[in-house]
Amino acid sequence: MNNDNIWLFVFWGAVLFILAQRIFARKKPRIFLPDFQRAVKFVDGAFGSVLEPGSHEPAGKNEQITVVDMRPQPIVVERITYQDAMQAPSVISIAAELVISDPFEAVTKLKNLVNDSIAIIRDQLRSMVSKRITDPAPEIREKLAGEITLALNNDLRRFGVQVQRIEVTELWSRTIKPPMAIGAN
Amino acid sequence: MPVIGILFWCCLLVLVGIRRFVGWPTTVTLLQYQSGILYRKGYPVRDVGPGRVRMWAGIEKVITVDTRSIPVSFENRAVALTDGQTAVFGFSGNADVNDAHKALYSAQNFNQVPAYVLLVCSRAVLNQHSSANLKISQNLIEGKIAEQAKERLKNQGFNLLSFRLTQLSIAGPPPESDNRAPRTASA
Repeated sequence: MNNDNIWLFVFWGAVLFILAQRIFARKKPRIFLPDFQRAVKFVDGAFGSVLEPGSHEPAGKNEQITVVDMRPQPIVVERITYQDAMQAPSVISIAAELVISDPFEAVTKLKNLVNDSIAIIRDQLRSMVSKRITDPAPEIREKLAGEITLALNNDLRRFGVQVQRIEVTELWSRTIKPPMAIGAN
Repeated sequence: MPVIGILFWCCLLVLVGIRRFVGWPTTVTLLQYQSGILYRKGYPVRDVGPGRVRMWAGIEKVITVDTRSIPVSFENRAVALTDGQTAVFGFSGNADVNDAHKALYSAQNFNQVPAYVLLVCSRAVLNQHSSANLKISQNLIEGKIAEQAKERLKNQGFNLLSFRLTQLSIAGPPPESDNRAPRTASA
């Protein structure tokens, strides 16, 4: 093999290599997931896997990737009016953080994470507090917040969502005094 | 002479390998009002300030945080008082990012955090006062809300710059209860 042949081999090899890279190089950038994100990968429309933080290959032609943010979403549910177990008119407002506990369930079961969750929370909250006697004392609120958290999470778990750090920011109930006994001795 | 050919191909393969598994060197420039966090393979490595940041584009990424102040303004919010009256309140405030790392992790959209905290603190404090109390100690209540909000915002990487109750009036008794099914926001 003489000198000319070697250089010819190197030259044409490089040309072929660059051409191949230009043709087959990926058009999409890599998917970079920070530690507060996950991604749900679907292959041919079916669930494939949940991608953990890191740098991932872009989705192929038969794959779809949906990125999910795992950071909390603060929400307020304000001025829900209801009648408590004693039929007393009452008002409650809560503030909470919505977090995704299962990315796959959250992506596949809720169309809009916040709006759909708030509708469920309002409904569940109203039905839960209506069964209790409302006590607006400040020291009761933490206990009530704990009970609300449990009740809401039981309902939201199947959607891959959970609420945390619930605060009862407003609680009021009209106290109904029992009627005085008339003519009693 | 075949050695040159082999070396050439080896160098080419090494370069392709580096580009494939490590990425290629690049820079990101953060503006004066931006902070950022450098992530490598998905995990935070260090906080970066304004200026040029060098990184490997395949495996590293800088997530920027805008540290400019976030104005908040709410009007005509109602809250029940301890004596059964309803107060209508409004407020305005301003907060900026103090710790980019904490702020980035505080919420999906960290710009919403000051509004959320101020709203929660205002409602919680006002709900524990009576209408008579509101009339005589508005400044005290304003200070109490600001103090609570400042502490909470600090824990989440923000700095409360200002807070003011712009509206506070007594509107009457609270609305009658409504146990009907709630209307949902479906389109």
